[in-house]
Amino acid sequence: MIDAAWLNPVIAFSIGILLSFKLRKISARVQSRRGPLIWLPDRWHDINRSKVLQPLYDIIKLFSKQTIIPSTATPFFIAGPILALMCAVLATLFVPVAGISFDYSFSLVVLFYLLMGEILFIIMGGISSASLFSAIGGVREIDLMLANEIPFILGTFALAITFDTLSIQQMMGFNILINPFAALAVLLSIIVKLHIKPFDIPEADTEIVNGLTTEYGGKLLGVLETARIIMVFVLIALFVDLFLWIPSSGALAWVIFLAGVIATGVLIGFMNSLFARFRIDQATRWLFKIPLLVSVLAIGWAVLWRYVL
Amino acid sequence: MSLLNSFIKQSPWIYHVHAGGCLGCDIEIVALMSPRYDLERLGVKFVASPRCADILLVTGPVPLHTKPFLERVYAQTPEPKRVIAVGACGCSCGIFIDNENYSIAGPVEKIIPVDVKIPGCPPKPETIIDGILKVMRKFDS
Ligand code: SF4
Repeated sequence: MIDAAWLNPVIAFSIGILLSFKLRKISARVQSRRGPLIWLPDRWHDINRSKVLQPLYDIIKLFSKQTIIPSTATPFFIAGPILALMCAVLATLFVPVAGISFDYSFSLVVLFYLLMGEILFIIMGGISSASLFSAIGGVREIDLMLANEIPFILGTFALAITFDTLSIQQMMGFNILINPFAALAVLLSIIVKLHIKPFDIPEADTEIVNGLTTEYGGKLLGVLETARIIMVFVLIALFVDLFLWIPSSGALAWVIFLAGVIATGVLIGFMNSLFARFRIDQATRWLFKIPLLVSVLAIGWAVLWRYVL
Repeated sequence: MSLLNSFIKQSPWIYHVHAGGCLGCDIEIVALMSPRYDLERLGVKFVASPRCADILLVTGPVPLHTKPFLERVYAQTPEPKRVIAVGACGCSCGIFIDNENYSIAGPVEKIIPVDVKIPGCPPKPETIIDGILKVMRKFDS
């Protein structure tokens, strides 16, 4: 019998597309624009009828275009996005979708390395294009990653301390009540990982073109977009699983899971459109101050409840 | 190929090339993403790098020193691509047209192939939207 968890990448991709559409729509509505239309008027029917799948159209279009590889690029330029996509797809197998995933007693650690690997491979690919903009984007990305990995790991390990396990399935629950500090720390680091404003510094298109993806076009950019869409889903689903999950099964599990994903997605969408961009020094300083403090509090809280009280 | 081209029609990414105009046209182009005209309704996205672009929106009469850059931007845009020349300058050099003008290499048509020209000095945003829609439909053929 084939494990249902093999379907996770497909589910991740489809829900990720709808989530990306939602993010675009929210940021448009906040700016009092309309964003991609859900129903197009009659006179544009020859172009399209509905734009709900806009991120999917973008990806298919990118795959149908010519790929230009700069003469200065090394082979890592091609390997980077593909490895990043592999990391993202593998990560979906370990994030429970409505309670279904591969689970080992150490799956949280595997997930850490896959999430980190995805970012590292994108940095590797971008930097090997020998473009200055990519180099600046890469440096910014590494800065953010160094400052951001600590709150993320401390926040999730606070739960590991509470439940005395490293398996994601066993620590799932409505833990936002058990450890609110951990929830805050993980939410903040998810925002940084997804490059939601105010942390879209590595791809700030008004300053450094597209950052790491400046030299990418055509099919390789399509691969990167796919990886990004899967990452949007993986990180949001991870947050829902760890902090907003109510144990259940069958159709009810799907309802709870999707409600959590939509709520977190809308929250992140509003953050994206309400803030302006940090400078890189402000962002690192802020990350070393507030999320770090919150995550240390989360660890203290967990230890307190487990060993003292 | 025509099936794949129809997907370009559904998500055209536009790169705006400024080739020596007076910024009049450029301000009208910025208005395309404002609440009133919002081109994102049609899935259009303005990108920051020609490597991701499908449509080049060129404004200005192309001065001599901008010519190599325009050629390079055109070469960096992956196929299939289309070019729109915006404004009187883009179509025919506009007020810069003069036999004695030593500094102009344009109009755009002389340097790279142009698919749609949008006249006006500057053209209204409605006109530019019409031109972009025309070029989107041209991806079919
Ligand atoms: S067409 Fe008119 S508004 Fe546009 S760049 Fe030329 S002079 Fe300026």
